[in-house]
Amino acid sequence: MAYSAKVLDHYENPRNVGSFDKNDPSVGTGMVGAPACGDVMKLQIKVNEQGVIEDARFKTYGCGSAIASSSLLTEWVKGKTLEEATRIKNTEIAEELALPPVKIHCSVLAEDAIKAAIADYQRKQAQGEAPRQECNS
Amino acid sequence: MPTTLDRDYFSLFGLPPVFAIDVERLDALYRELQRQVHPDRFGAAGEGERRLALERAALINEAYRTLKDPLRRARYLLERHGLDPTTRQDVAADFLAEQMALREALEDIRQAPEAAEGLARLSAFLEEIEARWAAGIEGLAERLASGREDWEAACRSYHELSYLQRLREEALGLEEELEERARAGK
Repeated sequence: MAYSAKVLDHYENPRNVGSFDKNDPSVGTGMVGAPACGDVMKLQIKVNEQGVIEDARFKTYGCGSAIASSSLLTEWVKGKTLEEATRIKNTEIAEELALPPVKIHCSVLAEDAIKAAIADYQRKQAQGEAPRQECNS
Repeated sequence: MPTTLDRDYFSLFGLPPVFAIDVERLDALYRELQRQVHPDRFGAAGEGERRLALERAALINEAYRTLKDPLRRARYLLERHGLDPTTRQDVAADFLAEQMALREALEDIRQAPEAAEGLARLSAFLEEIEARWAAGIEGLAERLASGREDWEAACRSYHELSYLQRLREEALGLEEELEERARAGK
């Protein structure tokens, strides 16, 4: 299958590959997978006190479209508030990368991953307040 | 030969629709059915009959490939039960995290400076994957045990095995790559 120039660019020069410490309270981790093709994707965000995503990392084991979708998404979410990042739609990713219909599920995976990362961050924040203080006192 | 096609893969072979099939028996039944629809037997037959035999041969091949492979057989059983395992997403987060770690470990082996060292590590890796695969198939068989099916759990097992299969393919691909490197003396 022919990949678009944008997919190839992200595939050959993926942005923001790597990991953050998943136990860092300012980090949210989203881990998703597609059983049909066995792809696994990890997307992490680092959020500052103003609720803005300062940095993002990803690691994707999958096809070029899955790698490009997650790479592009890490670029897009940087500087966005959590609320703004939640509103990113897979269709925008698919359009930007000119993904063919059979690869749309890769962009869905990326959208699921950022949603999962945000949910993980918010869960950690909610949990972090009360119990942690109790433990320390 | 019947004039209509029975499209259910299990009844096509006269096998009960269960996961725990006798694979040797399936092989024998397959050879027998293929013999019955072999084109040589229809040299003198009319156009319609020849076409039907061809269609039947294709169906038998597809049914055989599906039932022979445990993962495809499981998927067929799940679909037969009205579940669509391709649209469901229900493996545990821990499982995905473990898959990610295994992929990273494989990537690490790929980076091995010496092909021979990489191959040694890969062989241990593959052994672990095979053990996980065998355990997964055993779990799947239990969850699809005739009369005691747990379809939801079977779906999860199916998904987990799909990831493992992909991982195994990746590992086997790397094995070829490293063998190539070893032969080239790098």
